[in-house]
Amino acid sequence: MPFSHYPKTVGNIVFAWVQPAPPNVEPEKGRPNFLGRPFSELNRFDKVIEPGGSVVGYHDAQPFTRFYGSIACDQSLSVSLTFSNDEVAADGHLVDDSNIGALYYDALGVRQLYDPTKHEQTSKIFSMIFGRWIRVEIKNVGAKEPTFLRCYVRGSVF
Amino acid sequence: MSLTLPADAGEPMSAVLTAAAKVRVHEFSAMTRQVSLRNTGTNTLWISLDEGVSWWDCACGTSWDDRVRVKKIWYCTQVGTTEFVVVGLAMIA
Repeated sequence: MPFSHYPKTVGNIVFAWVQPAPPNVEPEKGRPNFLGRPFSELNRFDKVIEPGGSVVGYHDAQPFTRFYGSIACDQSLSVSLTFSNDEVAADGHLVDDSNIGALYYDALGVRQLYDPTKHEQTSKIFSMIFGRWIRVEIKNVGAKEPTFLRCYVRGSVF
Repeated sequence: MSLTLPADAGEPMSAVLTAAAKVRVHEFSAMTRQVSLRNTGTNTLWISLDEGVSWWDCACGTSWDDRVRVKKIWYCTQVGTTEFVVVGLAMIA
């Protein structure tokens, strides 16, 4: 029996990096667009992460209580979830999309060292919430560019 | 119009919208007598009925509704984007 009185989100992707990116496909006519928008708008994949390179994404953490996700890649990765409790940026301005990356992300929720030879043991991510804003970083600590990389982080409402 | 409808029934004017940091406006096709919305996205939705003079928030996964007579609503987020569904009820002419 679901606890239907709890607020729930239809979508809960906080961070998605899917390489190669799946193409956008129009929803079937007469049916709802269950995703609400093309997946390409959720997928932050831009270009392949070079060895030593990293990508970072930010999101409001406040709507959620916990964060979970998964990793799959053919290279070693370091994936971290860190949190900021800043209400304003260092210059006093309110947090917005332009300065969310400049906050102090002092609280490390989890750093997952993904090893493709130990996929089952290293492919899971979980962290409680430790701040107002969340920062997700994927660093390629392998020797080559990945031929595929899937990293999802989702927020749990309760 | 069916005569079986109650006297205060309304015609639904529904839309699926995406809010972002830049304030956007949604205009209903007619004046409403009630507006309901549900934030189906992952960020907090901010709403205004008076062209941005006053705002309130609707957390993701939650709903808001009230009996308001408006033609437009203004909406935005603090950061990122969020999707929401809105239904305005128009009085039956």
